[in-house]
Amino acid sequence: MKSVGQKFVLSIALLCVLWGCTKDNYKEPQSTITGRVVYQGQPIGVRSNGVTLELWQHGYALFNKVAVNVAQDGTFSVKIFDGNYLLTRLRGNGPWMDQIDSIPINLNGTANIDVPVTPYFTLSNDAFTFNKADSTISGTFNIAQVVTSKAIENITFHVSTTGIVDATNQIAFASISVAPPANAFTAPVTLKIDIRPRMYTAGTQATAALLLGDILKKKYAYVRFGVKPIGVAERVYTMVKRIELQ
Amino acid sequence: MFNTKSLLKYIICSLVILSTSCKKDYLDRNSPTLLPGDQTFKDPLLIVGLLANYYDRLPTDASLTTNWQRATTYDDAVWSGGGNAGDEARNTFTSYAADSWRLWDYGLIRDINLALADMETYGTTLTAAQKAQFNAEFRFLRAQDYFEMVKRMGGVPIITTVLTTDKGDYASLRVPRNKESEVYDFIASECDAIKDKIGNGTSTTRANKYAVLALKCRAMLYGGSLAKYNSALPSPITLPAGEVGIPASKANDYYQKSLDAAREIINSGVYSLYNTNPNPGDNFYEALTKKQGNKEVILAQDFLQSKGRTHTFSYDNIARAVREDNLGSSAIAPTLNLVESFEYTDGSAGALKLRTADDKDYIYYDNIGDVFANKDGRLYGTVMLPGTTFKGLPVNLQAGVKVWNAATSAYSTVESSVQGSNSLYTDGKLLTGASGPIRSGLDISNTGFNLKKYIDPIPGSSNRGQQSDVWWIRYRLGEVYLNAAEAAFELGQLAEALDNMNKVRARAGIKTNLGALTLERIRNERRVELAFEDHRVWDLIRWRIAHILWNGSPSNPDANLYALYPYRVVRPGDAARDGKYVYDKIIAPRFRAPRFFQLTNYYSSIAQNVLDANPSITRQPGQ
Repeated sequence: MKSVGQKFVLSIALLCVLWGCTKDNYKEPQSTITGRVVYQGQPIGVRSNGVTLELWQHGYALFNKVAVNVAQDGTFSVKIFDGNYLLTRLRGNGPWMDQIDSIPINLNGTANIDVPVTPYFTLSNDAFTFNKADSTISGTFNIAQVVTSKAIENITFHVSTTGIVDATNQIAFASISVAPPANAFTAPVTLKIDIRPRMYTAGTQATAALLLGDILKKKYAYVRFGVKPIGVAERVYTMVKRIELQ
Repeated sequence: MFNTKSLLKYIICSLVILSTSCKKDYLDRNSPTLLPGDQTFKDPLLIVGLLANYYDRLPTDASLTTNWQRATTYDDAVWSGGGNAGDEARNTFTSYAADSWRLWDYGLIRDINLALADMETYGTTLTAAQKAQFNAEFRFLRAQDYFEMVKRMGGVPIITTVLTTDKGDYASLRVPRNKESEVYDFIASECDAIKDKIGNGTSTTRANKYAVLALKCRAMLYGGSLAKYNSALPSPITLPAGEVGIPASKANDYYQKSLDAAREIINSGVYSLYNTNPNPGDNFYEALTKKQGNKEVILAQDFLQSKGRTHTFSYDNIARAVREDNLGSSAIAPTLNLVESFEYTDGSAGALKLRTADDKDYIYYDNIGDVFANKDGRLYGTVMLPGTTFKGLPVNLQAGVKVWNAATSAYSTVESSVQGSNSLYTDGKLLTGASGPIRSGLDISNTGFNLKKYIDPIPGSSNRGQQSDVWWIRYRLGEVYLNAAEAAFELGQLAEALDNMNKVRARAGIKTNLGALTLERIRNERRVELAFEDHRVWDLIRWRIAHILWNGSPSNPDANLYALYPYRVVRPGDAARDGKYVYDKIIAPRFRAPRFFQLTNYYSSIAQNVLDANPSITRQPGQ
């Protein structure tokens, strides 16, 4: 049985807790910066969770970057306070040339920024077909070289059960990686992937076989191409496409 | 109302306090707990105490006490311990963070520089010999610390004096980064300068001449391979002023220095490979855990039960069935990738024989441990395997049973989730062992293996009340032989490389000497000899193959960590198979994301506050 005094102290403490957290707290940020990473007006496809931009703000004691992750379709968005920012492209991070100029952003409410980059390659005209007879997906696309300093290391073709597809994503389970053909820049590149589960028999491919059976039942999959420049960590990707398997 | 008596008491008390409190130099007294430089550096014993502190602060990335959990993040192991301290992330992180190996250890550097300066100022009563000895030992620690920094960060500012703000000259404090090669050169020149002055006889816990040479040997090998393999990348990782990136032309010079240092250690005859137990597995285990009569160890971080200096590495990592505490165990579970790296004693490749040649059926073994027969002795000294014992008790690793279903002509798998005690199948025989493996269990092996290297054999040592005093080996002769082999091989001196490799392999119980040598063989030898000794990740980094082995691809066997689950076959009526043992190779169930090491991970990012404080510091490539 609690005494009246104890109850009184407890209720005062409760009131203090309820009242305590209003006065000097900031409101959560309300403003938004959205944008795209573009080359000649077209967004660049990248790896999900792979490429980041940096936001910097001068004038405060704490000078630290706000990392802005770029989504796989080349877009980004960040909720942040109003103010003057500098947006920089992290060197050696994306599949494009380093560029040290920063982009000033005067944020008041919303801002929509196109971040121009110079990718090593651009990919276009990607098209995919499913051949029901032998359960293969084939795809074709064009590669154009923008900067001649980097050759292609390899070309990859990824198939996944979900809409997030890239070389490292957990769900991306079927992919092939080939050396670039000699005429990669002049003729369309065609790749083909066999998605019959019984082709994946090694003990380590059990999950792949299971998920392939799964997408054959669902009758759709997500696909995209990637092209890796030599000596750069990230690939340039085509946009993710959904393909009907029937 | 005043009571005169108590008033008097107050007055007397106040007078007493007043009369004692106003000593003139009250604020200028000497601290009763801190020793200033002028007291410390007059007494050799106090300097040794200071040295002990600095030895203890030497950074390691995964020792027995510091960050040992990291063995599961970038050595050959899966985290199999508890999941509530954030450690599950070691199995689920999708890529290495930019600051994974960040080290900016100028606290220790400053303390050592301060000690060196103070000893000159105040050490008036020391003999010249004492001074020279202490000076050398301090400088060894400083060189070791610079090595730890350069291998993680590339070039760092070389500071050898005490920086102070007294003069108000802040610009001179903004020291830029030295070139990566300059830091390696600094380590080499410091080692040369101190090796004949450092003394310390054949101590294994204070650095002697051979510890200095071992540091030089390892550092120069790193420098050489960085020069060679970074330059061999399609797009070498460099910074314009050379803070990162060593020109390829320096490779041979570094390799030669490494080889020379190794030769000096080997030819001195002071050290020999531990080889007293006729069983190669037990012998290798003792080589790391036996302190008496161990002539292999050059420098170790020692612990001592009788002085209360102990650690809980055994508590955290011993196999579940043989643990002596009610919690903990099995945190570092070695992978099948590592187990298969150990060759067979005839020198053939180490892949386990699990399936028939046409892959139609399992290979059936009479005993659960038979699949590991004739493997490199070091496997038994490094990993607790199914069918082995520890401290006289069975380790009991069995995942379950495979029951034959005649109707479908296939096995169905039965596993138990009972942890920590043997569970029985309906036939009254073992179903799942007390040490697991259990797919989703905590504090129980997830890979079918447990760690044995550095686990204390003394009864009670895996109990938190008693703890373990196994030492952490910083340098040992086994590594020096492998350094020499690699350096000699890179310099084209094949005979010497072979000789050094074969010495290490013969001690491991491998029966045939190598006649030819490849780089892959040397690299694999380091992987198995030095597993869990804080080498693997640094080796992968200096060979510039980490981004290839750990490329984050779900289909890359090197980026995934595998487990081996042993099963007993239940197939009555088939005497050739019933009661025998079969093995499934699977990706370790708790391991969720392939390891992904990006090019930017070769040099860890520099902290933002360091960049803010010193504008002369250049950022890392990709930072």
